[in-house]
Amino acid sequence: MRAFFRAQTAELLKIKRTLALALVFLAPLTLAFMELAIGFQYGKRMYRVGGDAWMTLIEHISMMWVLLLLPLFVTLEMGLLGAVEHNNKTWKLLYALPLPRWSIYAAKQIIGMGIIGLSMAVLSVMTIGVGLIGRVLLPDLGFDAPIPFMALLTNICLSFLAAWLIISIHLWVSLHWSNFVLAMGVGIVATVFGIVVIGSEWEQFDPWTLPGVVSNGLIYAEPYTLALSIGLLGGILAAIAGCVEVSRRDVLNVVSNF
Amino acid sequence: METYVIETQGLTRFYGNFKAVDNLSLQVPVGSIYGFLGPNGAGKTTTIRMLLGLIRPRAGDIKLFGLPLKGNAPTLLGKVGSLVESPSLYPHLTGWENLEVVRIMTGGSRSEIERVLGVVKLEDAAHSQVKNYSLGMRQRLGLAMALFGKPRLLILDEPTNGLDPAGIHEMRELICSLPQQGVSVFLSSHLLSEVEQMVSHIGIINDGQLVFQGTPDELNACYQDKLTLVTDRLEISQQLLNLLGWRTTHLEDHHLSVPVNGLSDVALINNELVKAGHQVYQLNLQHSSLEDIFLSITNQPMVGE
Repeated sequence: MRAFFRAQTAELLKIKRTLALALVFLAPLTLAFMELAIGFQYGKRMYRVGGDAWMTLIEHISMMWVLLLLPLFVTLEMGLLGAVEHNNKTWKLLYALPLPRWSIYAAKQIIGMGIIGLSMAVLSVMTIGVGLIGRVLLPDLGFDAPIPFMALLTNICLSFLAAWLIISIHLWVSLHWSNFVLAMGVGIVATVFGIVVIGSEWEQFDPWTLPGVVSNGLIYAEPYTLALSIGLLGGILAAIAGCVEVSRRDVLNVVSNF
Repeated sequence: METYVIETQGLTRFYGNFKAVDNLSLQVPVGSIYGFLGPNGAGKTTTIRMLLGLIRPRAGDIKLFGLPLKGNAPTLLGKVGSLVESPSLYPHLTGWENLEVVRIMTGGSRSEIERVLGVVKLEDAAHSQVKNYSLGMRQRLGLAMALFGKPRLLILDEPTNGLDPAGIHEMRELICSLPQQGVSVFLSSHLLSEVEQMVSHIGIINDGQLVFQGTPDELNACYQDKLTLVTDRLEISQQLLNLLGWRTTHLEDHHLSVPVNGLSDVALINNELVKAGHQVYQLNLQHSSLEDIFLSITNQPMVGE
């Protein structure tokens, strides 16, 4: 366990000054700006008069973030976590240190989850911020209603937990292959595929749609337990599998794309 | 106490069907500077990766400090510092932070960071980001990371790669000073001349096989000096020398070549020839350098041929 904490502390130091860390704030910020722009431009059309403005806002965030941006964001972040080692050929340093390999993999997994979790926490705060700006600047949209903290928090937390499976999958892809384009490609194809799958009967079984299914389930009061369980437990199992696999691997790290 | 810091037996590794390392048995004595030599692609880096537990051998055993690497990797690797190929550095972190990563992962004190920075003379640049470092500074930082925690064995793969002459000189001095501090050094190179002055032991690998292992003196002794001579009647001179037990070769340019041991042999041959009434026009003793020996062992064309 001490090995794991050491590896974890080193991961925290390594993420300093990286794009991966900046994106944790930039990605939700971009989405918040988009939502604000929508509010100013199409406010009356997108927010029905007399409707629940806060819930509409949460629905928009859920649609754009959980379904579309989150899988891409996970792809990018996990890709960057791998690239920092692949590009600098540091695996041969890390694996020649007196730490078991699983601890290094597990530390990456936790930092990956932390990054996505933190970005979603930032997103929650920004969602409230967008609503509060709306309350002041767009008074006729109905943001003077009380803030639905509980609904927002549940939505963000549960869709984060459902995203554990894709976090684990993308981390494994990114750590296993040194090719950044491959890591991105897998994420983009899977995300697009997910958009096709969502709404079909298979949506509960596609890892990339699970957070969306959970988020939608919460908003429209549909069942989401199966999707949540698959995402959460699948994520844990995939992470354990990654830890086991990394211990058996050869570290070649020659200059190659694969 | 164990005799060897590194001992391998029958070490073999394939990449697909390609045998990169073939039945390699190394013995690196404690306190030695062991030069692991071979042309590019001979299997040096593959061997080093196996020694560090980065890749697994297909067959054979590795012992570090007398204990098998398999099953003891974390403990044994804690006593090994390594610098394999290019240094592994995080360019977005400062030199200090790169060492801090190693410190966190291995345990150790902050004063150890100061110490190794001092050893490689990087104190002044410690707090600037590595992306602003020159190649030589990166190499030195890589070495500082390898030296962190006072390892008992340092494994260096082509440590002078990319260094300017001054850097190479500094690196050599540093490496030479290590055995006095109780550190054994295993270093690879494709140039014997580069490590000749430093090493106490040499292992030569070619096509994955160990073709020589021993001290530089032993390597030297493997190869005799060569005498080339010209006389008035070369054929008859050759017959005479053969009769007297010398192994002669008739070279194309009307020279005879005879392997000899030192100057006394030259005098002896001259004496015999003159006694038999030959006119000796030329005697030329060629001393092969270690580099020549290395090149001939590894079947590479000798320089100047």
